[in-house]
Amino acid sequence: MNTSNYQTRAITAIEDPILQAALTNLQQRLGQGAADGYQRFPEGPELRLKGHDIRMNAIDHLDILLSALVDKIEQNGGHVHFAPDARTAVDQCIAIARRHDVSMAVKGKSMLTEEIGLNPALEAAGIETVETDLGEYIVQLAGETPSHIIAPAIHKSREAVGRLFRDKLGIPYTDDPPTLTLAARQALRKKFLQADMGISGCNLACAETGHITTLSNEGNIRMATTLPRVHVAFMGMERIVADLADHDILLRLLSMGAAAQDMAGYVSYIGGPAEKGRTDGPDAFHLIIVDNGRSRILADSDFREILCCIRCGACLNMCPVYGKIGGHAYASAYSGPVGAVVTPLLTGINQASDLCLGESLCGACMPACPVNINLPRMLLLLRAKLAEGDASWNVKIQSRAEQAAFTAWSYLLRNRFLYDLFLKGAYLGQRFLPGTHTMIRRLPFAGKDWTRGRDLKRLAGRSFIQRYRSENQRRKIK
Amino acid sequence: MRVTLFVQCLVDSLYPEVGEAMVALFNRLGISVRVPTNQTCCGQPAFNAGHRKAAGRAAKRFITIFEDAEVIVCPSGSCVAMVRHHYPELFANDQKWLGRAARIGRKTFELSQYLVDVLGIDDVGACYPGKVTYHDSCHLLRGLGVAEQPRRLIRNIRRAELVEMNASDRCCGFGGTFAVKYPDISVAMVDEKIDNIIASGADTVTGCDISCLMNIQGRLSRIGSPVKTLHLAQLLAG
Amino acid sequence: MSTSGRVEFIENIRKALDRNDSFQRSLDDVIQKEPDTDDLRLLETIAGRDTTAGLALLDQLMEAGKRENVNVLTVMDAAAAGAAIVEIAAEKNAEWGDRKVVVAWDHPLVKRIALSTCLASLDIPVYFPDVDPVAADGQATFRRYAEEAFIGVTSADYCIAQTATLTMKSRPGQPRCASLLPSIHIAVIRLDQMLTTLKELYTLLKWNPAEQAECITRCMTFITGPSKTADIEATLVHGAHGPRELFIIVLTG
Repeated sequence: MNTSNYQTRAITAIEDPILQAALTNLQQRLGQGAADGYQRFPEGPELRLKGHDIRMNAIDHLDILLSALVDKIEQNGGHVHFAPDARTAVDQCIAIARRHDVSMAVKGKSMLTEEIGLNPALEAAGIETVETDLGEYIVQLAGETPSHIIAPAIHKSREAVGRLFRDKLGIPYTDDPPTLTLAARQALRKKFLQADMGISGCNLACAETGHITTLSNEGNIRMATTLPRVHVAFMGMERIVADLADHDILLRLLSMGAAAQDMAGYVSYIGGPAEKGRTDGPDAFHLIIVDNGRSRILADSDFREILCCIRCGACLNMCPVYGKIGGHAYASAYSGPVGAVVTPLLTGINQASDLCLGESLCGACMPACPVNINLPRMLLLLRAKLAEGDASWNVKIQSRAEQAAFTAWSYLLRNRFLYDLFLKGAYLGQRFLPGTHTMIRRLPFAGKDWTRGRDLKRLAGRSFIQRYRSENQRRKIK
Repeated sequence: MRVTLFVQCLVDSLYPEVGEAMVALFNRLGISVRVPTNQTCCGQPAFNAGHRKAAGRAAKRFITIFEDAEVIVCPSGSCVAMVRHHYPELFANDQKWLGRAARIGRKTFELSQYLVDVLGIDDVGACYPGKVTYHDSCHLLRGLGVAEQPRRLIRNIRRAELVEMNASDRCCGFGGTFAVKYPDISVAMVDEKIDNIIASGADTVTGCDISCLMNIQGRLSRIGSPVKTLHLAQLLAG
Repeated sequence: MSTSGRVEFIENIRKALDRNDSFQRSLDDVIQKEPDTDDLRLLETIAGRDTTAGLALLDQLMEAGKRENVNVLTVMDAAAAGAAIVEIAAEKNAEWGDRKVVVAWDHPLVKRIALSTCLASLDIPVYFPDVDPVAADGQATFRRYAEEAFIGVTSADYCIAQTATLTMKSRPGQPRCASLLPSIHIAVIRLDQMLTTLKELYTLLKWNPAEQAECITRCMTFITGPSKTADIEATLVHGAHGPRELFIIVLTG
């Protein structure tokens, strides 16, 4: 995978007025909503710092927490599988499906399953796989990929959904969201009731009690994990906290960061298959814990912090770049600021270089994050590896020409006389550049990308330092 | 008590009038000013682009030139954030320079922060007739926590009216090399900023970071807008 | 198979964390083992709540209910609760079939309401799950009724006033689908089941002896409001996949 289409897709997104309106609306509602919500915590927005400590503590004790979780789930009759990579995770799921004679599975939203490419593999294995989160369902019917972690179909207008449902569900065309939602409710209910297997992710496991937890507002995850006879849960290995007190705080932070809510509509603690004597619930529970590059991130103390992420999407909802380019430009399960850090680390820093470089580093993501992850710090580090190479992450220097230019510049800076000469040369050279008396309209070479959309102030005839020097000399003479 | 000015490379080469405004302002306030004339750049452009070795060279030069100053004042929030937050990162493994970087960070201030928080001045006796809207630069706001200080100063400018724009704290899209490497995204972001500037009814946009203002001014000029772009120092020196 | 995969997997993590072999810690070393003074104080506060305090929580619940689209009804006793449920059943329509069907928990509080008797006046059958023993096709039977039902009546373990959140553990006789498959979910609780915050719930779960003894069970669910989605143009719609209406009936008597 590579992100070479980043700019092209970004431009497509920027020129799509429907998407632009949808992104503006989303960021105002959810982004600003969460920011206001953090202020309303009884503990204040400082709760985010506590959340950060809780998550870092969990990551630093990941071996202990995971072992405790696994022991308890197995004691309760659940099965736990360990997947060092995507292929293994997918194969394990297919094996489970075969063992239980599964022909149709219903899925709750799980970015991890997007990351490992689960759906196409299940379909190829002859297992019908139905997304049940409304946004994911829309995206699946349309044959597209999600463009936001929490609102996957944010890029689709109501008219587009209306046409889609008319074509795929055979209902008369309508663009009324309640009517469209009702059509999905009815269509998906049939699937829930017939499905052999339910697939979910895991928002945050609790080591102390031995449960995974899942959050939703629609109720689709409850449906998928209650009605079918088999439940398979996928868990990124880092998605765990130590105990109930930690979970209390993280649950509130996650609800607020994800959807500006005091509490998500439905939260389920699931610790194994349904117990003896119960009326409903799955006969079998399988937890697939996935590494797929996370342990490598864990081993690097500079990047370990990104494992604190609870995949709420709050950073997407504040990012001015995401707000313009949408999720598809990132060509990854993870978009926005978190995607810009985690995707290069999971898939290759050179391959995903556009994600490391393609944002303005405004820093709005960090205060937006419910656990205060320092994303800008890690973006800067990724850029350093691209600029200067890195052996441990297999990063080749992205541009030797750029490196040479900055090196030359750094030596030029050390000599004011040469620097002044350089400025003089540039000043003389710019006389040939078209524009007005004060503004340049067209720059050559790399500068042309600036002047495609903007003018640039002309270099001053004399720099400030030169003026100050001569003013001082004039005073001295006086 | 003397203030040492670090004017910033962009001010030095493209907007010397901002440096001159700072000197005039301190003169009016009766504060003695000195300007080391061998100064160049704090190294931020290199650092943001990932070139830490190059940034380190610039940083060492900055530290050498400025570390004996009593206090260093700079018209750029991003340069001050660079000195305070990133110099220690650059020298994390270099004990000798790390100490020097920490010490210089403590006495380096952005202009509005210096006037209001250190000198306790929020009225500099300035006059500027116009409706002014203020753009919160990212590093100044989120890196240094400065938001109220420029606004207090603007409110005390005679004949000036401060009008807040929508989303004043949203990035203008400059981002250093981002602006030339990803120009379409950058221009889309500055267009949103300019929509907000125009909607505010202001005839002037100001800020405390010339890189943002250069970006905004460049686009305003290209679209033929009459809105003026002036650095806070220029308003305060008026 | 799981065991060998586990050993390598955890070993990989230990390597990444730079743990040496002598470093053997268990979860008990990482988490709190005894309640601290704040925990004890909170437990006391919860235990010592009287009717006045309960009514104050009820006010909070009603406020939160407005925000979360939950209908909160206050009644004196089981009979009044029954009357309220009859009113709802009369007014609402069946969604999943022609006839109106109700499913309910086999739960002491729900049993006091004598639902079958109440709803007989409207010709509405009420189905309860088998409990010990569960008939061979007991699960399938109840499930069929739950699929058809327009109302599911349950109780809950607790109700958190601040966010109008119901919490319920899975137990025999208290099926999960009763609060999930029907179009309308009605939860009947007593005033003294109310808590203020999620923190109170977690404190009880961790330090209250009865809760410790039961543990969390295989499935514990928090329900805040009816099912909803805003996935189409960020427009909020109620009734995605779960119940589209939620009633909480609080018995104050």
